Amino acid sequence: MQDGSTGTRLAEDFALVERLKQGKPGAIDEVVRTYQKPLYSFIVRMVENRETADDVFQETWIRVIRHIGSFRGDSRFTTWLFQIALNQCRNVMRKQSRRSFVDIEDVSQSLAVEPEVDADRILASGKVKKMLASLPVKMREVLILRYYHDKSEQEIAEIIGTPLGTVKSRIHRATSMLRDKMEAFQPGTQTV
Amino acid sequence: MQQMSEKEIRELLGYYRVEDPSPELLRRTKLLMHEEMLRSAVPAEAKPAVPVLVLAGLGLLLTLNLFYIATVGTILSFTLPASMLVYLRHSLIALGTAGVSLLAGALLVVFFKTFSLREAMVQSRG
Repeated sequence: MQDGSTGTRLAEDFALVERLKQGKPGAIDEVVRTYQKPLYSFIVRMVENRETADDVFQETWIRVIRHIGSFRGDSRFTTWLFQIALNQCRNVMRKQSRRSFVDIEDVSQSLAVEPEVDADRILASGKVKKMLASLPVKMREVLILRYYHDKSEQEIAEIIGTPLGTVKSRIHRATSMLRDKMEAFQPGTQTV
Repeated sequence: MQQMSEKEIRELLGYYRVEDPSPELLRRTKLLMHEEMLRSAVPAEAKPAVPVLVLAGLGLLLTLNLFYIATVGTILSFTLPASMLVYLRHSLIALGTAGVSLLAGALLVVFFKTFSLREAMVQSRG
């Protein structure tokens, strides 16, 4: 069952999509403003590289505009948006060999803009990033969508294009793998 | 070993924050989106197939009218009795006027469609 805010969001998304389809002025600004943060953070966590993430972010939005006419509204707009982004991330990751190290400068740069951030936090952030990066891509996909974007199992299934049962077992396995890694890499410890 | 709860997992994952996209990236992205919108709008909306077909049809009709006026009309003007010639002339004028009006109307439709499309493109760019 949908609560009031979800219903409102869906209605707003529907209206926004219609405006995009009609090429109305301001629709592009609004859709980017609404989804820029979740979309960008999803892409960065998936591809682990800021420059690549910038390219994927751009390409995702261009594809949104290119294919908005074929969006029939069978799924939520966010689901469709994340599907496009995930496909782009997968393409990029297929082309590039996965980086096996964590660019700690990326982490410290992103955290340095927050005044309350201390060295421990930067270190912890690097560790968490490394943990995520060490997981298989399929596990990372479901974990990021589940824990960072609060997507339901059904939504994740739609985004990654697999049956619901597979998503459930994948989340379970990914969570176990993450727990194992987290218990070894507590943020306070120095072991990386 | 005691397993971590879901809340603890979320808490730990929360350490990995991501910076927002830069204003420059957003500016470039929006620009590319506008360009893409224009590119995809033009072929979709400016499909000339229907207006061109209508124009071709009306052009053909007008040609047939003129042909009728030039041939059948001429023959009839020689063969018909003098009292009927006035009706013949009226019918030829009516046919010619109808053909020209239809063609002019179609041309106006095509003109305004193109004009409104260009207007929409300018607005979406803004």
